[in-house]
Amino acid sequence: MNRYRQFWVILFLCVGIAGFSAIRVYTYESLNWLHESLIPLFEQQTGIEVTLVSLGDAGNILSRLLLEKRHPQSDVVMGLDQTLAYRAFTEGLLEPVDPQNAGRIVDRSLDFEPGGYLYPFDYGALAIIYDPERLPLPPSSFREMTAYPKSLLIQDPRNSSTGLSFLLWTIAVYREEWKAFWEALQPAILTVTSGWSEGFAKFEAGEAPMMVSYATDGAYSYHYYGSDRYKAFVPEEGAFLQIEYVGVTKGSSNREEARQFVEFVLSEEVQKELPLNQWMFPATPVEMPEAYAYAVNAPLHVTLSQAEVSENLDLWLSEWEEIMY
Amino acid sequence: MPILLFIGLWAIPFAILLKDFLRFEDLSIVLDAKFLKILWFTLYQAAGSTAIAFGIALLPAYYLYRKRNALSALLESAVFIPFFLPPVSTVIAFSLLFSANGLFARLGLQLPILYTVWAILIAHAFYNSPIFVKYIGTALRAIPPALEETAISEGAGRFARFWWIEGPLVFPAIAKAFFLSFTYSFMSFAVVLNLGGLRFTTLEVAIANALRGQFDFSRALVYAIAQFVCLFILNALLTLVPDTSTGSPTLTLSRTRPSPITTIGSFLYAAFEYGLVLIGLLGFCYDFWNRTFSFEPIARLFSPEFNRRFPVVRSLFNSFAVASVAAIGSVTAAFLFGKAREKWAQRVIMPTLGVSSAFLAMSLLYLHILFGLPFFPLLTAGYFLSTLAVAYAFMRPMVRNFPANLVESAKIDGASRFRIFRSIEWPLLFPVFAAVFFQVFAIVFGEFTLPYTMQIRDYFPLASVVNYAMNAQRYYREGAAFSALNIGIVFFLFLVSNAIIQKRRLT
Repeated sequence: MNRYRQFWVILFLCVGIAGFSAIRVYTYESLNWLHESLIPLFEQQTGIEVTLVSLGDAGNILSRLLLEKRHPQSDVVMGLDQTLAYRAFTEGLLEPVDPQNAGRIVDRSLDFEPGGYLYPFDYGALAIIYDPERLPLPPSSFREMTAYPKSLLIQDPRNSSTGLSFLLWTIAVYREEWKAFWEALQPAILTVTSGWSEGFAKFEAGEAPMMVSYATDGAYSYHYYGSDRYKAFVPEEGAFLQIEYVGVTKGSSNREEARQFVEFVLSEEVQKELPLNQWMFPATPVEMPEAYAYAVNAPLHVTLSQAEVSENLDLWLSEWEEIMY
Repeated sequence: MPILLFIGLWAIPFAILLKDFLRFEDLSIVLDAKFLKILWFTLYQAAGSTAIAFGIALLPAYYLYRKRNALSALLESAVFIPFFLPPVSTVIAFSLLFSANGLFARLGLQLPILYTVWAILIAHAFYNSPIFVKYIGTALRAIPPALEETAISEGAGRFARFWWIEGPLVFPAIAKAFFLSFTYSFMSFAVVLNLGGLRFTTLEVAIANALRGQFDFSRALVYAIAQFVCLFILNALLTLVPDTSTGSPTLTLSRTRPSPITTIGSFLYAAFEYGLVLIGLLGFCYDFWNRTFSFEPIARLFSPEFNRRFPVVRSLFNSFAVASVAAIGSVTAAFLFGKAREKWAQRVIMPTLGVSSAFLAMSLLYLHILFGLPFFPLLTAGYFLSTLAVAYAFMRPMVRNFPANLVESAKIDGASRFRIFRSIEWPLLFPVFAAVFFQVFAIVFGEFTLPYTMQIRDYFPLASVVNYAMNAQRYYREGAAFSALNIGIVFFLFLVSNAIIQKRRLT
């Protein structure tokens, strides 16, 4: 009996020494679909075990990283958008990494600055979705939206990445005049929800005919319901992109394994699954599904530099609060 | 000694979080105009909600006093509603009733209360008025009938009886219900956020914004401390209210019949309370968005494929385990603290109702990060700490009014403490133990803030966060069915516990 016990102890130690490896990936709820086939595929390809931890929304990921700053528990972070990503960088929560598949990203405007810390894996334009039954004649610009009282659902920019992107979108469009625009927009807002999901539930319940959402919602509607029940428009002033990034957490004890995971996210296997699961455009070129013919495209884009956002964000949020609260 | 242990259990996680994240210069935030505005609104809505809750509870409380029938049983049982009906069900119900596309609008009745302060006040009144009904009704029933009979024979009218007899005797119960109702409204999060919207920020909402939006833990800590201090002061003031209880543990009924206004008001009140519960339960088989009946979503909840994505079954087991252990702990501690007749127990325990759940969750999560403590004991401890005040509030009057002569006689006969408990206290107080156990179980089973803030879905899923995840991923029908299932489970347990209590009372 003792011999058997010794055998198992030695075997266990050997496996440990041989490098049984596992990584922990922090992401948010909507990326949970990775569990179904892609994580098993990665584990099979590399022998690295993955624990995917879904942390509510992207804000929760950053919140957890900050709480764990002195005692890192994760290896990879996936799903931070531009603003959150820059905050994670300035807080020193990221480790530089150099995946080969980064070369597959064609549109360099998606890159995170400074380079080497985070890599875009998908992006999508914000849009206003509306119910054509209740709003047969939708507005076509931000300015026109102000003429529809209590008709718009927006998300709280202090809590929601969609809400924050919408605020930044209007600042990118109106620059110094953005506060005047928000004062004009306020009567058109029915309410401010804490996140996209809460807002969409209210939108589906028919509380308001318009909501801040994504340009791919038409594609989603077509794919699942065979019709574009809800339509979307991008105001003529220009579209604003939300870019999602993947990178390695500072203090990760499995850096090489974490790098391999970043590599995997930028590989064709993952990228081709993004359009119909994440409902965003992949960062690398892949063949797009038919449903994407119903996604809204906008030729004109507006942007803000990450440095400008980082420098002014607290002030903008506080000014926005003063207007709205 | 036990109270020191209790203080230690609270203080240690907070002290660690404060040490690592609080910037002392941020304490000056409490002088900012913005903070004062938030504090003012928090106080205003809590006071308004409590006043409305008190107002609408008076007729049903009098009905409880004067009648014992099916309606009075329903009114008395309503006290469990705020504890088991998740705010999300109330939010859905309000949306279905009051939105531009809602039931009232379809009937041609425009009631634009959504996203106004009225939505917050009415929802809070819905949640908290059953506490007033229960407390006032029970206190009225405890008034010896002889007092009322004497007053009537002396020619005292209804108002005089209320002013000179009922009012003073019921006042301590009102004060306790006021504290609970005010505290719940003061700490409200989901209702304020979803039914009021951004313009109506309370301290709890500000804490969540600072934690999850601005990632400013120090600011969140300052808000949480301010919130706790407010409720600590309120509780300290309320402990000054003299306990004028008659001390009678027997529940008696007034001989005067309830007036027609009291009866009609009580019916309407019961319809208001249970109507919203019914809407929550209907989600079991009714799709509110497409207005169709279907059992498909509830069946899907238990399919292996669905459970791979949303661990429904596992979360139910986990919630049962956490709720049971936390409830046993709370009931036991509430009994022991209830026996301590000094006021310090109340002064220490009751203000803990004012501790922000989000803040407690962050402290527990930080303990996990620092020391790798498993989530099951952390959650159980968190729920024990956060529910002890409720258990204590409900148990204390019963434990205090327990006939001391029985215990004294047993002691004289040489019975040990355990023997006294097993043979005297346990059988006689069993209905109280069972009712409070169930109440705490229901609170924990449906609670959302703690597991959501700790983000433990992938480690130790609980029913409330799995339900949230379904809605977040657009599985609305399954989410509504799961929510209804949870309400149904708690309601079923409530009926079972009631049956057990009745059986024990008879034997």
